[in-house]
Amino acid sequence: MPGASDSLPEFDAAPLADVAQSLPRPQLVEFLEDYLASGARHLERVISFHAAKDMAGLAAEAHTLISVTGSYGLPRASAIARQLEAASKAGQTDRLAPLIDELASACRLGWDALRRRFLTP
Amino acid sequence: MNDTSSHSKVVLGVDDSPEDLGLLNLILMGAGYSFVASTPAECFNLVLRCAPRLILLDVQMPQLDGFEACRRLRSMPEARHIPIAFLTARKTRDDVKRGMDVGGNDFIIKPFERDKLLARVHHWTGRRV
Repeated sequence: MPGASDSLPEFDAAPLADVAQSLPRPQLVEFLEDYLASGARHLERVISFHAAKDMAGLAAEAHTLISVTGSYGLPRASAIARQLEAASKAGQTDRLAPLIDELASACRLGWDALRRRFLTP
Repeated sequence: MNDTSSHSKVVLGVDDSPEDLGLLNLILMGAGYSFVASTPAECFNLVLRCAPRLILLDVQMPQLDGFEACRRLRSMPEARHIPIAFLTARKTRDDVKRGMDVGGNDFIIKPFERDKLLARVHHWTGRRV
């Protein structure tokens, strides 16, 4: 069943475009590589909290990912993170695994696109 | 007289997300501001040390929520007249009321949109409250 996030792009370069233009390339690479590493750790924590049935931890991590993805140009992942936060807080346990799968996919596709756009010479 | 130049105006950002602080730093420094990043625990001392023109304050922080941090900042004479804009991924009517009740001045929605963020920062760094 299509969700509201399906119409959103995996990646939008606009949020990072000005930052990318203003930073010397070595600094940009370091900044974005650090971001990609920490983004991956947030996603791992989502999966861990879900496995541990820690709903509060899952909701908090999903909340963080709303901005950690969206502010960096991943609108689809951000929308899914928002849905995941709401589902966690509402105790909708049957929705969590599918949403986490969607989120993981959206993050990986978005981060791959970010890497191709800004980090591939 | 309104001071519209961003040169050397200090903005203090309080957030538990290093990713958000890192991006705020780059956006604001690119626009000519000085940005000081802070954890919730450090912000009360940093307000005294850096005398910011604006405080950007995340709402949902595990150690100390932004509304309580705002209430404490407003109890400090040094922070009483500094504009405080909450950063939040969620803005309900109750959140707005609570934010205004504790002395906040604005809400900036996450995920950040650069132009909207800078417009709010330009607005608040030009005035006292």
